[in-house]
Amino acid sequence: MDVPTLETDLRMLRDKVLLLGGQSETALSHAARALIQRDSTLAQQVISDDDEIDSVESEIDELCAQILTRQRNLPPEDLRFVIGVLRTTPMIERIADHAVNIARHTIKLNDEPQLKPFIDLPRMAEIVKQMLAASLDALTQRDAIRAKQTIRRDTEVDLLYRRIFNELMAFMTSDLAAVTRSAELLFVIKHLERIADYVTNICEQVVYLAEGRVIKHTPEAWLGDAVEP
Amino acid sequence: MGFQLDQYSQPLLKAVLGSLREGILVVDSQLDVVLYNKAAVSIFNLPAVMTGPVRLIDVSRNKTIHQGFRQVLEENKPFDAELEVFGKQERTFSFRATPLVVPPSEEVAGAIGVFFDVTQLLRLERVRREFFSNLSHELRTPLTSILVYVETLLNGALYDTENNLKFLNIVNKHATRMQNLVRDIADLSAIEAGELKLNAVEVDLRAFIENLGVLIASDLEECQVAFHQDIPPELTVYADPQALEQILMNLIINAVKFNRPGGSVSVTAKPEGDNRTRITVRDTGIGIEEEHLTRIFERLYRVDKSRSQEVGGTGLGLAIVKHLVLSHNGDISVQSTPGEGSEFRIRLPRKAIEA
Ligand SMILES: Nc1ncnc2c1ncn2[C@@H]1O[C@H](COP(=O)(O)OP(=O)(O)O)[C@@H](O)[C@H]1O
Ligand SMILES: [Mg+2]
Repeated sequence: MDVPTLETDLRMLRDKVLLLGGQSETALSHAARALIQRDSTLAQQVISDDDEIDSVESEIDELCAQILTRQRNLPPEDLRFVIGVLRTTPMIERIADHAVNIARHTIKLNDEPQLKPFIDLPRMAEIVKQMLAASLDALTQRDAIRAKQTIRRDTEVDLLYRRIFNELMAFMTSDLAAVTRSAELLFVIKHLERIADYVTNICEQVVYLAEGRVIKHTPEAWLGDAVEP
Repeated sequence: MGFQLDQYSQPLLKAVLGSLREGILVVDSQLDVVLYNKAAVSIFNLPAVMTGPVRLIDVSRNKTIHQGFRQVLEENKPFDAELEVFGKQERTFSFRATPLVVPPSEEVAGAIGVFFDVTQLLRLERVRREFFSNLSHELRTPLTSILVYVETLLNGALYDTENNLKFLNIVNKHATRMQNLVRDIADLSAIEAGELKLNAVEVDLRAFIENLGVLIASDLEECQVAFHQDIPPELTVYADPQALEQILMNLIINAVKFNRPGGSVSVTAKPEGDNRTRITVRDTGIGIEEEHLTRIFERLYRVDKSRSQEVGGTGLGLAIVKHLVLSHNGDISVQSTPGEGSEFRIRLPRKAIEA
């Protein structure tokens, strides 16, 4: 077998991160579809697919460690890339976790009749899906412009979040029978909103990779906060 | 890759690949995409004109695709899977990857992936499956009721003067429902099999619809719905009168039944270019949510099953309408605002085209 060179290692690392991204994209798409089409089987699949995502994440960590220990004098550009990977991987993994949580709430929601046909919710899910895809595309191409465009879409998500939030609150206060379902849906939109935040963070990393500067430096932006159960 | 095409083969290969409906991706042993066709460009993230190898991960982040190619390269045998591609719309592909061996070498130089869009096939398959499971359900439900009431009658209720007529009425109602269903199925399968003979003539639309108005008088009264029509004199459609009646009756009865007391139904028509007549059936009824709009023309699809059954529907009406309209070379479309009403619009030929 060939001795792995830095180049092949880096290429493999990039492949793995993007594949992980693809898996969280799938998780989100499936979770959204399961929610909207009330498909509990698909929701269950999202939950079971997650184990593999976790194992890919640790493979990536290992590979990064290998590269960093083997290569004493990593060129700055490559070092930046490895650091970028170390930062984005947990975010991508978190996105999948949130998708799993959406799937869990979906299963509970499906045990009861539909609250009402959704209009804003599918729209919100769709925007978040598009943002995730765009952020991964931007990551692939180190496209800072695309990343910045994607960051701006976060306000659309916040707007929809507010609107759905208010609507659900109105439901909860007007109809006792709707309280549990509304509460489940509140969790769902919270998770979607968190995913959009992580996407924003990924985009900030893309800008960092491409331009070598951090556009927003808060510890919270990198580490993320805890995921609700 | 370690081989070259001669001057003659290169354009030929390009032309062949370009004409395929299936997307083709060829990767080398490093998972770089070294060749692809036009269909692949519409599926994946690929530049329309190839300028050099592209990393597979940049073409697609789909796990199955990577797994498939990797497995082919490592194990030198074909790989088959179904995969979803999330883009503007979600589509499902059947994906087959096979090893690429370029003689005289016997080594696996790469892999060829073929992507065949099965979205539509799967959809049809689902519709078909749903149809048969719904159909058996639809037939079983009235049949069970009939048997229960007949058995009760046989066990003595026949002489129970308080209930016997009520029971017989229920039996009658369910038997009628089965009869409607069987009639609609027969119609539909005849139309679909192309067995229907259409004898198109020029029909005077205004008189025709006035006549239909008489037929629906009792439905209008029952549902407390007003009926208006506004058809220009001398406007014609070139259609088979029996089929035209079936088309319009189905649309009008739907508009009446999925309405609300005090609502209205109006039928209007006007000539359009290209020898067509446009007929519009508009109601002020319950309307149809966006998500159901494309599906109501499917056989047995109903938004609210219990409401449809209450009003004697079979769920086949619009499927029949659609097929009849299409077999007249016409088209049908629908617009609706939930809570406000719906509008079904059909276009049919206006006059016979002189030979
Ligand atoms: N004018 C209308 N307004 C509201 N809903 C309608 C209308 N026409 C059709 N639909 C919906 O489409 C479904 C399918 O219609 P159709 O095929 O005629 O079946 P059926 O009338 O037997 O239920 C209906 O069950 C109803 O839900
Ligand atoms: Mg009908």
